[in-house]
Amino acid sequence: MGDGLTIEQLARYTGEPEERLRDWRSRGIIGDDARDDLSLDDVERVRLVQLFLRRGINLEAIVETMRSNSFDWFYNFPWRAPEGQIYSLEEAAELTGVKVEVMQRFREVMGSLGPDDFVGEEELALMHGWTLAANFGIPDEAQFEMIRVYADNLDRVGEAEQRLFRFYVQQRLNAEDLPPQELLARSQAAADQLNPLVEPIILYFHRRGLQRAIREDMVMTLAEQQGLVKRAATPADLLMAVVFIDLSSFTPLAEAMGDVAAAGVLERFSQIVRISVGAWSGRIVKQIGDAFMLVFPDAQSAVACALEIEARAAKEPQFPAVRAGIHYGTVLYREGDYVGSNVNVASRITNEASRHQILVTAEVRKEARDLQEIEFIRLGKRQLKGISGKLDLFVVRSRLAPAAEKAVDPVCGMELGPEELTARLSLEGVERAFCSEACLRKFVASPEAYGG
Amino acid sequence: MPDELTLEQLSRYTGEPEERLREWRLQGLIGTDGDRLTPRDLDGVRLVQLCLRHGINLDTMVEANRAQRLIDRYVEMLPGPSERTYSLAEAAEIAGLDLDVARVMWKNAGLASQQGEEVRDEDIDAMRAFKTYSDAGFPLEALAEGSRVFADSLSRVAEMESKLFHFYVHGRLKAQGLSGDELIRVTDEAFEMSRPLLEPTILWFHRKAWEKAIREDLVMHMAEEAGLLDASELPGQLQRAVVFIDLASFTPMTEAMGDIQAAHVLDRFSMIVLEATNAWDGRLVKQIGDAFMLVFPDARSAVACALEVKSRVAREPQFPAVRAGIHWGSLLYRDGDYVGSNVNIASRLANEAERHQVLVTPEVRREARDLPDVEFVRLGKRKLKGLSGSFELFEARAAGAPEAERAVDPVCGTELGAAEVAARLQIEGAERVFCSEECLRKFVAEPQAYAGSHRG
Repeated sequence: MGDGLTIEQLARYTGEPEERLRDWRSRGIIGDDARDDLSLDDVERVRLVQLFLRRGINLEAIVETMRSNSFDWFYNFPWRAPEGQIYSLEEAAELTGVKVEVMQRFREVMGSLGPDDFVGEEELALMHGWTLAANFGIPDEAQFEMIRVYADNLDRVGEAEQRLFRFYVQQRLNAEDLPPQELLARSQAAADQLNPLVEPIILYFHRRGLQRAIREDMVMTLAEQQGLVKRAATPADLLMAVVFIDLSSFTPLAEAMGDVAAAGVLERFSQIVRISVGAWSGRIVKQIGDAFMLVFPDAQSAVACALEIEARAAKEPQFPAVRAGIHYGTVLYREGDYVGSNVNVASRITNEASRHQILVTAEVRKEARDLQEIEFIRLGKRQLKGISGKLDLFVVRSRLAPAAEKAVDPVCGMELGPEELTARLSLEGVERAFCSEACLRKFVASPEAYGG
Repeated sequence: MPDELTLEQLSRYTGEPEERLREWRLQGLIGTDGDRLTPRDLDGVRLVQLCLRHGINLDTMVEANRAQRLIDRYVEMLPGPSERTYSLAEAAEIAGLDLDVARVMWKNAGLASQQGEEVRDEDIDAMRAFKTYSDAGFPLEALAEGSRVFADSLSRVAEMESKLFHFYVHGRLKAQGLSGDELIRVTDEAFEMSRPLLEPTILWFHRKAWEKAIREDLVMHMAEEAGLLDASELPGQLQRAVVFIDLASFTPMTEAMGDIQAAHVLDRFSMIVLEATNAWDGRLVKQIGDAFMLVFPDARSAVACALEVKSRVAREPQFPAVRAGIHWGSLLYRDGDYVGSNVNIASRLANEAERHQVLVTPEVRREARDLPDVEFVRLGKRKLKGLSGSFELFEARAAGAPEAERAVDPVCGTELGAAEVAARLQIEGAERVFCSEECLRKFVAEPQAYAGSHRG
């Protein structure tokens, strides 16, 4: 199969009736005046038009933009070689030894890959890799797991590149009020300059990540050899300490301060977590809103890290309180994530914690009891939501001097040192502190909403 | 030929006393390149330090290195050997990058904790790229955000590669009875064969993702021009529909079925969510346990996607119920994530939802009201945890025949069709069904623990 497509093929690949494609061609949306047949680029154009129409943009606006060639740079990626061979799924299966069903499922996972029944050169190379991995003994399920991790994470990278380009280059150019042709030329020039840098940076960060992962793998192997951890019973079964740590009043804070200020608080928190987790060789598994899920190969590092984060956050000016929950046990590694009931336990414990509290289970206490300068205070048995039976919980805290008492703003939940107070209000014998007049006004308008 | 390092330099870079480094050298842990110390020994020292921090003693390391060349092999496996090392300030100067920018990149990429302030050739190349971005007008915070997203995402990819290799290649060889030199040889061979595949694979996925992101960007651009969306006022501000969707009883189910069974259910759920999200042009922002956060450029696709997931899940055999919350409004894009109070609202809504319920706000209803075959049922005002004021809520559901009633196992929360019931128990005037005898036994042992209805 070569590059040229008939209108009938285009209709088949895209699901649009030939009638409509002919109309689009006459309007100049697809096709190229210099040639009679259609090309793979047109498949891409049709998909884009379908996307626009689904989003409620009308055909006239599309024709206008498509005619002005503002989309052309979209097709100018060096890896898009239109003269490349294409193969049918059956041909590709024949060439690579990968089953057609596997390829179809792969396409489902990848989402809108493009036309559903042909395979390009690059994808073919990927399928060769699939066969090689299968020969190493990696089962299909594990390969799909790999695919999802690759797709998810690189999706995030691609999204970041595009968004940052838009926010910091495109919108700045837009603000200059340039004539359309010049605007187009300047954004294209910026893209031409920056795009070639992206792939080397990706490979660089990947090498750095691989270095770290191999190092962790060595430590795991040695820890098994020394008998520090049990050998995994099933693939991907690991003994880990799981930490959930969050800001105890972030939702009301975001509401009271607005998104931008709240995002600033979150960024400071994320910075603190990142530094401490790096220092204790843990991993940030994910961030959800103001909550971080962390894993550590041992419970001691997990406890030390949580205490460090708490201490650092307590020193920050105008910052909400931190709370955390820690559990130690086997977890399953899945798709770049860690799952299992022990993860649920850690998450539920965190919900039990009050401001500045770090709650741990008996398993954590047993593993981390030799830590210096730290004490565990028994809280007694608690029933946790969704978990049967009761859990023995402990508060862990540093024996070193406790942080100075801070007042708490009842509206946004921010902790305030004596110099950070904007207002104090005594009402019905109770004194309250506020970070700003905005919070004071909100409180006065409806004291009962904030426990007044 | 890589640069030679003195013992004193090695000590300064790693913070280990020279005395101790000499001892490690005698034990064969470092200094494997004859009489010379090289930047590779820095990696060796860092590995030894990491092992010590994790409670692995020197004897184990010396033994493992003698028998399996473990540390030497690790150092050889590292990608991109460097010829020499630089200080952060030297490196920034060579790359022409502002030292503050270099520091931000170093810290955000997690390198400060990995290799202190010791910079290598490949790091300088990365700094040169950052310099170009900086010249193109990217402010410090954008570079910081970019480096965090790149470092996090690619570190997750590398973690997966290394873990799967450990479990499926090394682990399988070991299970086949290979040991000692043979195991090392075959493992190394497999590693050498798979390594050249990694980078092209990453680039392929990245290209696909980039194309997708650009396509989305074009649509957003067009929608703004057509007046369908308000243009954003602040960097990072976007109008989006946010969906939180989860399994209504996953925690008790994990407890009852065990981690591995539960992980299978989660795999199936995540496939369904991923496929539906892709089909409706959404993005899977993250997964936390059984909960998924999705964003969509328009509220209609968000509602359609949630209903599709719901109906597909309802057709799965032995599967818990789905519930979801959807909100529409302006969000902030930060670090590959979406934040803001509108995100919190959607998350709280999902917590408020009951089994099979898709709850939406009036904003979603307004945007999506002309969706065919969907009806919005007014539920009245509700208070949401952590949020002031009360919210008018609607339930979105497919107009037409309701799904067949299914019975719910009170222990694991799985929904059971008539053919899937393993046991029925009539007790105190109520009938209960169970997916397995195991759940029945758990129930009988402690009926009061499962008295409430399952809402997650």
